[in-house]
Amino acid sequence: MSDPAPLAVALQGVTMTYRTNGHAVHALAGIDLTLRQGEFVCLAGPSGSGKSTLLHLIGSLDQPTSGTIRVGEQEISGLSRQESALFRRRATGFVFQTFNLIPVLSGFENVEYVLLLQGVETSERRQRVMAMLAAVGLAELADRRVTELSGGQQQRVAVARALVGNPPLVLADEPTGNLDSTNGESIIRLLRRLNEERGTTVLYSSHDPRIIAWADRVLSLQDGRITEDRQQTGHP
Amino acid sequence: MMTTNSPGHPPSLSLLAVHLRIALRNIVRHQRRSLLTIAAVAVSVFCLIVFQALLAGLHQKMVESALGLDTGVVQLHGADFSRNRTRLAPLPNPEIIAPAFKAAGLTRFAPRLKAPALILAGRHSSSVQLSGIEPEQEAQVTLVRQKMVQGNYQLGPGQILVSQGLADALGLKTGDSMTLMVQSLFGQAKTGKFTVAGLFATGLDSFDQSHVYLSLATAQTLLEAEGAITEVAASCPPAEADELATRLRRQLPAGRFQVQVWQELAPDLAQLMELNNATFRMLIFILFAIVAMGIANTMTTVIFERFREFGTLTALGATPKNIVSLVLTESLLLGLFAALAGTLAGIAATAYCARYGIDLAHFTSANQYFVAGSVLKAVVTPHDLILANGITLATAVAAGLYPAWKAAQLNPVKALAHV
Ligand SMILES: Nc1ncnc2c1ncn2[C@@H]1O[C@H](COP(=O)(O)OP(=O)(O)O)[C@@H](O)[C@H]1O
Ligand SMILES: [Mg+2]
Repeated sequence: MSDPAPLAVALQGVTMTYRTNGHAVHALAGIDLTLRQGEFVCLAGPSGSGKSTLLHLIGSLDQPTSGTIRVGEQEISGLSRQESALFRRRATGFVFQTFNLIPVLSGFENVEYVLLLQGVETSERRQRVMAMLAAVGLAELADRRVTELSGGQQQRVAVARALVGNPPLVLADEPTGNLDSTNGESIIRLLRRLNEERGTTVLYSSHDPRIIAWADRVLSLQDGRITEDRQQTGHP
Repeated sequence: MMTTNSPGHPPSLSLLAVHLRIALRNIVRHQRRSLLTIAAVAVSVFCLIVFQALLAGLHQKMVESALGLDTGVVQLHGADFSRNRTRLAPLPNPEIIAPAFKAAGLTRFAPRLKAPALILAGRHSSSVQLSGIEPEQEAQVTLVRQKMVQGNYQLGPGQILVSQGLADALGLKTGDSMTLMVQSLFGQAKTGKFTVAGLFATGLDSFDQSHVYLSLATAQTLLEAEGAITEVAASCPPAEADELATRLRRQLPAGRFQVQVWQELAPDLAQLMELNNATFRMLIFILFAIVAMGIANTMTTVIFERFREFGTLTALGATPKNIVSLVLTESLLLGLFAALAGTLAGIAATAYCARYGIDLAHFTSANQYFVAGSVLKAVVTPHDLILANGITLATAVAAGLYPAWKAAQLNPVKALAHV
């Protein structure tokens, strides 16, 4: 390897402790981690190991109990609600296990919302949304209400929504968890392709070996700690 | 190339347009709940518009009646009138008065010479207020001509107008004669003999028993007050009284005259109307507090159902303000539909009441406020319609504020986990 790519994400001593009626749950018990730009990384681990918590913290949807988190050049622990909203708008794309599209909007409108938040002009917006929907193979269904789409199609809209704003980082929390293996496979293939074409850093979680196999790097999470950090080659 | 907002950039119109689309589709999607909320609010808007129009009609009728008996809307007296009521005090410079009224824009005015008098008829007598009037001008200010029941309103020399009630009490008929006793301008006791030219009946007995009319010239002769008048009453829309009174004051030499408006001349009427308005405002406040609770309740249900959606939008980079805008748009839209429906129904109902009226005859006999007629007609003005809609939309926004703030403060992680 020649010059290493610049840092995309850097965590130092990150912990997250939930307190529920008296007793504490250490969801993350000291995470040190760096991701480089363009990496395609899987967070692997059993249910309850802290995958979602970690993704939420990196996406500034929640604040850690202790530790520091940098995304790109920005220190994000300690941002106000307003600041973290503007950070997410610019710097991250989310894909959820349950798709989470706005049910009353069409696929086009769901994807467009991100560009509306970013203040992109009408004509450029149209063109970018259509290009993005074409990239995920949904150009023909752009104007359908998302409630009329299949699960696989909905998750494609969600992927388009996560990437249309050109964020440097995409966070996907079990993106294939609610899909059958064929659809799951095609979603991870899509994420992988977009990662390679655009150089977007992707961090996704999964406990399905066939999905984990697509990553260049696998972080194994157990009881809130990274127990293994390995590179792998020759994805399917 | 990526085009991004600078932080704090005001929300774009396109974003508001999408929020409008989301709000509208959610309202349509939950048709039954939306229709119920809209109907409840629309009924309140309807009530506000109709009651306001009826109250305006009621006040118009009360003013028309109470001021149309004798008072008029604006009155002119000598400067010392209030202090000196027991002496006949003619107005100074009578020749400048009529031009002053015309120049001020008060075209309907009636000069009067008023004095206390005693009627003697056979073995009967009665003390009354004598008014010397110019019948044509007087008819532009008061209702007496409209209330004639017998004989002739046009007073000639030696003729008198009395009410039917007083005539009955004194045993007089049209054409009979009677004697009037007064104290002249110079303090002398004077009598005159007059023929009853006509009878009026306003329906208000206390007024009828105490008022008689001569022509102005006849009264001036009887009172030995050639060319004198003691007051001028003018008629105009009550709302314009203050402005016209001010203009009239400017037309007259300072210090010698006193111009009063109806609120000062009939403070009981002004207070009664103010009391009505205050009661009405209180009822409207209560009504719209209930409306606000209804909308707030609907919006609370709405945001509770859509926690996940707000969590998602937050994850995409929607700021708390964006979320507030989304929720308020939906609340405002509910209010807008309700305002529209309530206004249309209200206009239809008030148009009907304005045309056919509501007869209050059963409740209003012997009441000075309904001398001009007992049929209540609704009066609806653009101002009142705009106000009713303004109140409704403001209530809708206010009712949406708390749910909107709640939605904006949601922890996105918890919101996303919500099922
Ligand atoms: N809001 C919360 N309150 C209390 N405990 C929580 C909360 N969220 C997560 N946890 C706990 O933190 C741990 C990690 O959860 P999570 O990050 O969701 O794991 P994963 O996504 O790997 O299944 C679990 O033990 C879970 O019960
Ligand atoms: Mg999880």
